[in-house]
Amino acid sequence: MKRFCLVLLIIVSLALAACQPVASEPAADMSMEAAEPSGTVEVFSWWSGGGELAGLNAIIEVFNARYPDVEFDNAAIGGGDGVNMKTVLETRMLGGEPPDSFQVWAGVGVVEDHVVPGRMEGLDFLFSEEGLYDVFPQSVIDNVSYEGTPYVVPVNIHRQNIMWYRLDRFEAAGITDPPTNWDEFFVVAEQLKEAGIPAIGGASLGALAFHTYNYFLNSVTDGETYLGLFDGSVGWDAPEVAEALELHMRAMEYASGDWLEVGWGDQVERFAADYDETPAIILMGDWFWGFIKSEGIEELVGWADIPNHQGKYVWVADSFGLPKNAPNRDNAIAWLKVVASKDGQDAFNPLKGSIPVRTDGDVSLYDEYLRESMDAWQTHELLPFIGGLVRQSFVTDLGNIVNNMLTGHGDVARAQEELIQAAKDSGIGE
Amino acid sequence: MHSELSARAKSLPALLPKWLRDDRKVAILVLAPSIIAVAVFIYIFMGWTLYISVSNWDRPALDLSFAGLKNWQRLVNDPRFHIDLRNLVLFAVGYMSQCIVIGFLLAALLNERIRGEVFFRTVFLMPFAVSAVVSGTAWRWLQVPSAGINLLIANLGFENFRPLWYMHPKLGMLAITIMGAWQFSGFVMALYLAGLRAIPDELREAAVIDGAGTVALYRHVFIPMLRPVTFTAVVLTGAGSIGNFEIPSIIGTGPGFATDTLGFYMFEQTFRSSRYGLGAAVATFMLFLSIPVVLPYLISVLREERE
Repeated sequence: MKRFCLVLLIIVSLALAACQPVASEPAADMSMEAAEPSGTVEVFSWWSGGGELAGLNAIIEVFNARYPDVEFDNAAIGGGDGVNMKTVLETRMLGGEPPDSFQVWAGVGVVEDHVVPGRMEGLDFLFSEEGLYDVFPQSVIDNVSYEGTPYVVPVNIHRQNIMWYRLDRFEAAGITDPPTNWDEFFVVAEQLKEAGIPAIGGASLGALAFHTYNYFLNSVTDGETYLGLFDGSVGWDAPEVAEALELHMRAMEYASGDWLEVGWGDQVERFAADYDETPAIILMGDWFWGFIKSEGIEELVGWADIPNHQGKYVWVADSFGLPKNAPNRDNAIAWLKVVASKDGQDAFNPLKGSIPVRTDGDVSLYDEYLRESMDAWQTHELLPFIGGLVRQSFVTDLGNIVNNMLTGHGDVARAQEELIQAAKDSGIGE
Repeated sequence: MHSELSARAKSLPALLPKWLRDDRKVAILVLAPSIIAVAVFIYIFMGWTLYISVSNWDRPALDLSFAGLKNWQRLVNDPRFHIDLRNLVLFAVGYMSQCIVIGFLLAALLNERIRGEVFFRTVFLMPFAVSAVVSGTAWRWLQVPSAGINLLIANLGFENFRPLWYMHPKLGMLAITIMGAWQFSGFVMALYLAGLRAIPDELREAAVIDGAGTVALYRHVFIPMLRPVTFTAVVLTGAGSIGNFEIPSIIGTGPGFATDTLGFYMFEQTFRSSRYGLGAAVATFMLFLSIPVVLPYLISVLREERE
């Protein structure tokens, strides 16, 4: 009996000894501050290809030069709009194991989904230390803040509402000018159809339907109505919602006959090459410019305002935040400093196809399109895109609802009913 | 030598305290960690999921207040849920019948002691070893309506026959069962082959002497004797049908959710829309759904053990 008790005692004490350091380590880490950052930093993003990857690599280079002792763990998870990354992030957050920093759209989404549930650290200290209150536009600071405290650092401004078109396809159909309103668009689409060219690129994909619907909605609403849909002052039963859905359905009739069968990646590849199915027009944000540049087809492509979008700059800012309990907090802060820095933003944006958030960016580094975008940012009406105005659940729902209408039932009234429910679910107007 | 060993074996319990010398108590002690782990990670979490399905947790912020049947009501009224149920029926019917019929036929052919049996057995079983992601991607390309198999059909001269495969807005799920069956039929074949080989030769000979032809032999001797194997195959393919998640995650949910499944719906509601309550309701529903599939199997296993 004695011997058995002794053995048991030894086993138990060994087990306890093995457990202890694990529990005490993070506490020791937290107290260490101001020391030169070293170790690793794990950063989530959805930039895994094309101009996005080139931009990310460029800013990682800036980071490595500034913090040679920190290993940058690029935990990029591909998938349009971060649809896969956000899923992994959500599981990591729920499990209490956040990455050190992660990509997110600035706006209501990050506030409702991450700040309000108490997952994020406020970044007032960083904005003050780095002088960001002086170099970021006030509208962007307001957008990344909750109750006066900024929570994420934006790295760029993308313009979401651009119409990209193939010059040779327009020429082949005898079109001289891009359409400026939807009536003109449908005339052009008919002309293209007669020439055997699909007018518009499409794919059966919720994330794409979400973006495209954003364009149609913005072309039938004024800024006030558009914003009202998301702050609750305008209901989703508004006639403009249905009008946009109808326009959307009508436009997709001019997509290539197989648009339901191919992925969005295939459509984009087609746009860059010469197939019978190459669409003449792609409606997409200017991250598409990053793709065009990475394919080297700038000469083939023209750009213009989306029909009925004149004077509107629908914007989205990719941003990075600091989760509470980030395992390498100091390194995460180092990363955020690079994200906010002039050389970081100027390395990243020319390749990504976006403009810097900082007002002191070096204009000479940016190409013709991006300079035009910088001017438009100063002169146009600025409207955050839907992803910056609502929580993520609405983004997913909107994409599913519109995609289901376009590819399945085709019933505008039903889609609007579902949108009303989705708006209620995501707490719009609460 | 023998007596020495047994003497040593006898001395081991002698080392232990008295209360540990009882076999039953030792068994409980040794099994305790597994029992606790199973209880916590399976049954308590099942209960936890059930509770979440009646909670108000539909935002990223944790909210465990009681919501009654709100999530369940919503689930039952969700058109996507109705489509998923239709898809489940289509998938289960197509997948189970193909797996069982093809698996059985392959096993019957191999059982004829043909030359190169090992080769064919390996070939038929191979798809089972391929990851569902890989085979799903390959099949997706084969079934793209504008290319793949349809090009073959067109080249054979049937230009006007152009099936939509998985892009069919109502029956797309049936096309998907082909991918699933390609993957799993080989495994069902292995089950049947083992079953066929276990049937004593005397039985076959006796039946042949009594004048049974091949058809009668299968119909009256083999198929009835293979009933336990068929049972296993039904349970495995049935459970696979309910839990299907990979296919929509590779192929997409199709036009009008034609290739959506309960598993993918649950995943999207939970992790993409943060509707944990609704996601938990779907998960619980799937659990209830699998009970009638698995329970008879468990009962029969327990009964066999008792016998």
